[in-house]
Amino acid sequence: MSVETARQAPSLEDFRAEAEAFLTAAAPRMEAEHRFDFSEEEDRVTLFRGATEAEAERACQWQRTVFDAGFGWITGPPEYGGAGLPGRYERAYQELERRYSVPSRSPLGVSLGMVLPTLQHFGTETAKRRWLRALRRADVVGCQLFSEPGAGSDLASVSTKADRDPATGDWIVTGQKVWTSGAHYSDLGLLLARTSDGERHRNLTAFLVDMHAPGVEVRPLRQMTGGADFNEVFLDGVRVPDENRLGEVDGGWQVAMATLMYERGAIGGSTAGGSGLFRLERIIAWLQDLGRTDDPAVRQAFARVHIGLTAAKAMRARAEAAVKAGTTPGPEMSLSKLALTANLAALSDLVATALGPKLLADTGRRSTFSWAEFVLGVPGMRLGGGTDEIQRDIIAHRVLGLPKEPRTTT
Amino acid sequence: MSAHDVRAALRTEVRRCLDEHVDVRPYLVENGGEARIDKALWGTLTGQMGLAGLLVPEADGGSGAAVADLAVVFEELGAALAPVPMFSTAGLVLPVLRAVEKSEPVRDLLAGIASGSTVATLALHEADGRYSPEATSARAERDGTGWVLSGTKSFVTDAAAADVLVVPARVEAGIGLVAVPAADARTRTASGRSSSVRITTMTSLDLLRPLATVEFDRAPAQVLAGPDVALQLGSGLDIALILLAAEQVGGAQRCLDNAVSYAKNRVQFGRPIGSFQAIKHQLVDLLLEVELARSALTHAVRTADEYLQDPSPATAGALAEGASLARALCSETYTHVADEALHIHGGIGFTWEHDSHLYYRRAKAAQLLFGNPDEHRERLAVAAGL
Ligand SMILES: Cc1cc2nc3c(=O)[nH]c(=O)nc-3n(C[C@H](O)[C@H](O)[C@H](O)COP(=O)(O)OP(=O)(O)OC[C@H]3O[C@@H](n4cnc5c(N)ncnc54)[C@H](O)[C@@H]3O)c2cc1C
Repeated sequence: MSVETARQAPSLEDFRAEAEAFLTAAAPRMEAEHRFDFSEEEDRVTLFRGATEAEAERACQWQRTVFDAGFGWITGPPEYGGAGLPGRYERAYQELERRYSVPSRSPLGVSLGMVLPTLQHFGTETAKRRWLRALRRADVVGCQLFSEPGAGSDLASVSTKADRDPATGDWIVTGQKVWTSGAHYSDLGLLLARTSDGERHRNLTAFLVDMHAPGVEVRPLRQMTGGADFNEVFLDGVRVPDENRLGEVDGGWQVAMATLMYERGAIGGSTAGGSGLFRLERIIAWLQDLGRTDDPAVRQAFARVHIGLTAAKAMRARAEAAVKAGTTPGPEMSLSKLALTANLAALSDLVATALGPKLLADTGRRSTFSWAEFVLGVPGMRLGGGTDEIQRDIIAHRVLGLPKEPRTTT
Repeated sequence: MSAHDVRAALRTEVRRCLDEHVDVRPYLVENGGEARIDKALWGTLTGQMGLAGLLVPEADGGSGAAVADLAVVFEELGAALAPVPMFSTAGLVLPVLRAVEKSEPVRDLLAGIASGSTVATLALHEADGRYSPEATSARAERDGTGWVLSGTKSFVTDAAAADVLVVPARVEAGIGLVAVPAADARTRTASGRSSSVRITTMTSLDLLRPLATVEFDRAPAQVLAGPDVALQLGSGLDIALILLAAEQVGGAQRCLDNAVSYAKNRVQFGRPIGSFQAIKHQLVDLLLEVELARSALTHAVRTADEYLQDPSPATAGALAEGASLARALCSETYTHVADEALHIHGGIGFTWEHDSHLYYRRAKAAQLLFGNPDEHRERLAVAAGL
């Protein structure tokens, strides 16, 4: 934060009052009678919201409104369009926003939570000036071009190639990416490509690719929920200027690792193991509305969800306290994604126990069959952002210090 | 120093002492043998280190610390399976005393506990191993100027070591709290039917915390609080549950640490077994369970400290919710971790000489006494408003 903005920093109370005034003018309060309703605009409960262009557009518009009111990048550096305030202001705003019925910003999760911090950390000055503010205002949306048909968990084996054009210094990219969430409404792709035949982990480079450039083709992939959040992306001789390179040539693995760390933080951390997604009061109100609170099986399943969410939230608080106390955070952060998938499974069980046949076919009643999309989405959370197995490997090696398996790939 | 640093220092100090002094083997109680405690260690932990007095207010001779501090101590005691009556004295009796009105006899008892001179336990459970105010059968009656207590309590921890037995009992129309000195009773054996307090050690699953049946027959007693303190007693017991959960977290962590270290060293098929994914993923799952249990404990400890600072129906409700939440999770975590950690040790883990079974026994015992996980989940649902 620069000296100038430090002097201007409002008190937290003033900041809250301003935020509250903005929100009251911009969005309706969460209706008390809809407390049990997990689906604000339409009758849907879902983990993956980016399926339609319309939903993405709503998210972008809301992000723009928030940004223009000064709450879109509260902690960001002022020279790139941020407000330069400490993290507690951001948390205060999030806390307030939850009380209002606002469009979900999850279509922007990859863009804001992964592409943006990676650019901020590894981008050239030109790239940062061009895109940081634009990404934050959702004028530009980013996606993650990492996975390929032959390189999923084994990300280091990506085979999409980037060759340098000796005449211009540009890079020419050819290959295929897959499972790219949000590519259909994105403008910028964070690409991991092979740039040499050198050693594993030393042969990749990261770039930002203009998704509208000639040679980029996006084809939607339908997922088991029925929607199409992710895509195949074909790259055929796509020209990328060197100023769009992130990090060193052949230093892309470090960049990718950082992105994946942001991703785990974004998925597991920001949702605090799911407690940020599903609030207990609403679950209770929903069960009461269903009239299912007398069934001992429902009560046990509810208690398991309660315990899982509360413990995950407390785990996040412990990690934050550790950071504040100056000690390096323990294993809590890296475990948060596993906590999330476990909690989603527990919630899925509760939903099934509580709804019974109402989960199987639409009776027309709100907040019943609409949970089917959630239940069908849970398996995706165990895969995206590194599968549960890959998370376990990482924790086993980095946290518990267990020996790696003998490797057979080169 | 911040509270965080103070607690870290306390943990280091307690662990160092326990690492140096704990040897559990001489204290295993088998087949109705005599229950014993490590008196030298108890003296160090209480008289020297003042740990039994952490939760006693300064005005009563303690150090006026928080439940958060005492929880650290119980984690370490649980990790070491230390054969001392700390749980009974400072984990059970002390929180119950803190929750009731401070009468003169309560203050005396608090002072005795703080100085380390008094070992106390709570004789709580009925013959079926459960407690509820409604089902309480022991009764205190006036006898001249004093009181006498009659009735039977079961599943009592550290009864043989206790100087004072604290007993929830019927006092007039309510549930009061009664203290019975056990000084002369302890020397008696099954032969002396004339005794007013008879303690019989039950053959127990947990060899380091054997349970006892205590029969009171017009035993001279002192009413600590009454005639009706069932509600306060309930909140005191909730704090006790949280301290038991701390013991469980400490035990689970130690089992996990032992299993991780064994997995790094034991070689089969030419490589450490910890390099096999089946083992390493299992260990990560256990780590996640322990971390979540520890987090739930942190949450519950906060509700306990908030209750003690400001006892009210609201803080008591939050405490009940926190206690059952932590107990349900920590019980399942400890039993699961103790079981899997034993498994990772292979055949050695199944031997009498290896400590795995001592943890396995403790985990089961701690899970089933003071309410099993299903009961706590139901209680949690009620407390949450479902
Ligand atoms: C909803 C969703 C959104 C996604 N969004 C994006 C995106 O925006 N951008 C992007 O680049 N990618 C994205 N992905 C891709 C995701 O990162 C990959 O699916 C994931 O890394 C797994 O790769 P894979 O599908 O090739 O499966 P594989 O790697 O082939 O894995 C198949 C199975 O084998 C297991 N396995 C693999 N290796 C090991 C090992 N070493 N030890 C033990 N088990 C192993 C896996 O756990 C899995 O169960 C998304 C995926 C999903 C489901």
